[in-house]
Amino acid sequence: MRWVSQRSPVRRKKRKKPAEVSSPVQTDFDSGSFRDRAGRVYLCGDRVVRGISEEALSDWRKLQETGLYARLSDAGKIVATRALPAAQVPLPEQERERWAAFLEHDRIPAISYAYEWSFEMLRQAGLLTLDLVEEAIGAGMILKDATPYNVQFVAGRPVFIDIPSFQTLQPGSTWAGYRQFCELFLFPLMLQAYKGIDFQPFLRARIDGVDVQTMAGLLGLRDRLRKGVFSHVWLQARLDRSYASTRRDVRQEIRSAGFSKELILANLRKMKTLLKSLSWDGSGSEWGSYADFHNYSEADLSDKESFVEQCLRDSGADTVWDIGANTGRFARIAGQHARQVLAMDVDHFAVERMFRQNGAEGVTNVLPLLQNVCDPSPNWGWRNGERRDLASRARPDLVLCLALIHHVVISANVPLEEFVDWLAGLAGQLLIEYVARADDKVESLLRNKQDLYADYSRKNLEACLSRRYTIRRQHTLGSGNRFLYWCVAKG
Amino acid sequence: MKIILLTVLTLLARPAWAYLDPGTGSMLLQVILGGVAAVGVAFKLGWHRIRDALGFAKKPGAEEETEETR
Repeated sequence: MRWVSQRSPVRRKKRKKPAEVSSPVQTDFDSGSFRDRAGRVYLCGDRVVRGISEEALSDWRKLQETGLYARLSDAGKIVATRALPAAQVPLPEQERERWAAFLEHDRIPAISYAYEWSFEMLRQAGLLTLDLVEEAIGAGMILKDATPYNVQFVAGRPVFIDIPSFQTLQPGSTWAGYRQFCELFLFPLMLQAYKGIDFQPFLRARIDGVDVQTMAGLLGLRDRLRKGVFSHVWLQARLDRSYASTRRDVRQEIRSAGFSKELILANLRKMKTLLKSLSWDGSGSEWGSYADFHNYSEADLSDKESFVEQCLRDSGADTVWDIGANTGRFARIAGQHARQVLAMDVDHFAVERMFRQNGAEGVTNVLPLLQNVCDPSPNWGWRNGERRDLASRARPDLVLCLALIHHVVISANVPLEEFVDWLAGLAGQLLIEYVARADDKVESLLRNKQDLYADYSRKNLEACLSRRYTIRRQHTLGSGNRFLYWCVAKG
Repeated sequence: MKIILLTVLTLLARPAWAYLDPGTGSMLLQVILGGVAAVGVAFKLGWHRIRDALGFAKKPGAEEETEETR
C-alpha cells in the first residue's frame, strides 16, 4: 500500500500519466466535517473520500500497525476504510494538494442523527463509543472526541465512521471527549430514563447537546440520589463553574500528578455500567405503549397487508420511506422487497419498539427514525448546513403513507392538496391509505375540534392524486372506511 | 468583565493540541471519579484545590488570590 506524500504533489503529478487520475465527478464537502482540522470528507458521486493531514496520516498508520483497525473493522464496529492512492482520488487538483493522504470509506446507506434515534439507539451508540475508547487505549490510542454524529446505524447496528478520531494517546492526559460524551450521550439518556423527558428536542435545539449547567438545572435535589447524577452532573457543574476562568494549566498539573490511562479505563468501565443501568419503559408515550392501538379487524389487517405487499413487490422500489410507520409492521414487509427502508414515526416509544423488534427479528434493512413530517429535521448548525434535512440525505423510490393523512390534515392543519404535492415531490411512487370520516379514529380527532376540514374527503384526495399521479391500483378494506391507493407519478 | 477577560486569556493560552475543549472542570472530575485508583494523583494534585473549587473551604475569588501569591 503506497502513501501519497504531502510535500510532493507537483512532482507526483509530473510523474503520473494524466489518464491515471479519474476524471473529476461532482464533488462536494460533507458539510458536517469541518470542525476537526485533521481532515475533511468529500462526497464524490457515490464515493466517500476523506483527505487527512500529516498528523492524521500517522495516526491512521498506527491504527493499522497495531492491528486495531483490522480488529474493529472485522467486528463491524468501524466503517470499512482503505487508503486511496493519489492517482485514484476523484477530486480537483487544488483539493488533492491540501491533504497528506486520502482514505476512502464504504458509503453509509442512510445517514441519521441522534435526534432521530430512540433511547436504545443512542445508548447503543454510546456503548460503542466507550468500547472503542477502551480498545483504543489498549493500542496506545484514544478517541479525540465523543459525539453521536460519529456513529451511524448500518444493518441495525451502530458503526463508528470518524476514523481520524483515533489518535495517539498522550501520556498523562485525561479523556478529552469526556465532557462531550456527557453532553451528547449521558445527559440525554439520563433525561429520558430518570425524568421521562424526550431527549431529541434537546439534541435538535443545541448542536453540542445538553450542557452541564442546563442539566444540573433540570434535575432536582432528589435526583442527585440517582445513579451517576451526583458525580457526572452536580459535581461536574460545580467544577465547571469554579474553573471556568482559571489561569492554571490544569492539564499539565494533572499530567505531572501522574494521571494514567488506567484511570481513564477505570472511569470508562464505570461509565459503561452506568449506561447499561439506564432504562426507559416508554412512559409518556402516546402510541408505542399500547400493545394494540389500531382499530382494524383481523380480516381487514390481513387484507391490508396482502394489498400492500403485492403493490410493494410489483413496484420494484429499491428504497422505501414509511412515514407514520408506528412499530414497523408494514416497514418490515417493505423490507422484504426493497433494499433499504426508512421507517419513521413521530412517537418516540413506537420508534423504540420498532428498533427492538427489528433486532429481535434480525431485520437489517429497516432503519427506524423519529421524524415528524409536519416538523421534520431541519438544515441547521454552521451555515445551516452542518446537519441536513432528511431529503438531502436520502431519497425514496416509494413512500408508504398508511393511516397518516388524517393526522397531517386534521391534527396538524396541513391542507390536503399541499400534502399530496409534497408527497409527489418526494418520490415517484406512493402507497397511501385514506381513513374515512366515519372511522372512529377520525371521529375522535374531530370530537373536540371545529371541523374546518372540508378538504378532507375521499373525493378531494382522489382529485389531488389524479393531478399528480396515475392511480395504478386501489382497494377498499372490508370495514368500508379505509381506502388504499397505489399511485405512480405522472411524467 | 474580569471573568470574560480571564476566560479569553485562558482559551488563548491553551495549547492547540486538540480541537475539542475538554473543559477544565471536567478534566478534574476525571481525577475525582478515579476513586481509590486516583488517590495518589489527587494527593499530588493537591486535594485542597479540588476542595477549594467545590467552594467548601474558601470564599469566591480565593483561587485568583492563590494564583497571584504563588
